[in-house]
Amino acid sequence: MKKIPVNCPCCDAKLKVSKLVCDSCDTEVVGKFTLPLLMQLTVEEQEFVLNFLKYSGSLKEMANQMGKSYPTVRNILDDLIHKLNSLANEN
Amino acid sequence: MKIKQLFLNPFADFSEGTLFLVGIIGFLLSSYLIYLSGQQFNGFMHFYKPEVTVSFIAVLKVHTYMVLAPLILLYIVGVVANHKTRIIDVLNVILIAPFPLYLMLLLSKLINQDKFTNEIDQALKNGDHTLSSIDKGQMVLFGLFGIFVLFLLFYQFYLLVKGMNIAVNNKKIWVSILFVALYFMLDLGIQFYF
Repeated sequence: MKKIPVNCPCCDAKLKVSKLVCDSCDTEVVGKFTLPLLMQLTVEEQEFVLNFLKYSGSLKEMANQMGKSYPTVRNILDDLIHKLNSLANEN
Repeated sequence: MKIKQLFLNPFADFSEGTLFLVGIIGFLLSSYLIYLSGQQFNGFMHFYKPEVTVSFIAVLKVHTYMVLAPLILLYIVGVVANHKTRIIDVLNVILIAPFPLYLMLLLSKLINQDKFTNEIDQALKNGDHTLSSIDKGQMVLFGLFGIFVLFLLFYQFYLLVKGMNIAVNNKKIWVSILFVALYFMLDLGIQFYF
């Protein structure tokens, strides 16, 4: 599956969605749509959020599955919360 | 992969239970080694040879203080920097970081450093200031050992910083420097009480 680029490859600014296409009838919606907050995260960060939900928020279980220590996983989560707060403020 | 991480940053990958178990084993073994060599702790990074024989319990007791003192200090600093800091993570750092020091202690016993130091002392007392009576091979061996000891000391602080950075989720260099400075200053201060 292709990765959706989040930042501009030229100037690193945040990218926006300008066109949405219906797969069944080819209807195109053109505009300027901001990506949802979670979509603005990197693929690794999105996977972390998905795992967080999958393990019912148990960082201990996540640490076991990821082969990382508990504080490492907690730090990733804290950094992610910080990033989401910054993104929310920017938007 | 884990082996490389074991040396570069054991605090990132290993569970707190594993780190604690290894730390306690290291704590007990190093205390026993100190006891066997007839020495006693008088700081986190140095030992001395008391006039009287010291019991294993006495060594364990002082070694416990040497763990508790930096634990309390660094835990308080950790909580100030990040309220989510857990005492078990700081304890594991305090227990694991001196491992290079324990290795240094073991190596110094294996190559009989005490005997060499006594020989140097004796040569100097006899007026041999150029140490011509000391075997050159031995001089080279202990010179290399001295360089290796410097590396181990550096590695000890490296582990301290890596561990504390994970325990506190710190990314600021000045906070890392503060951890080292506080540890070092406490070590200097504590020797006046032991």
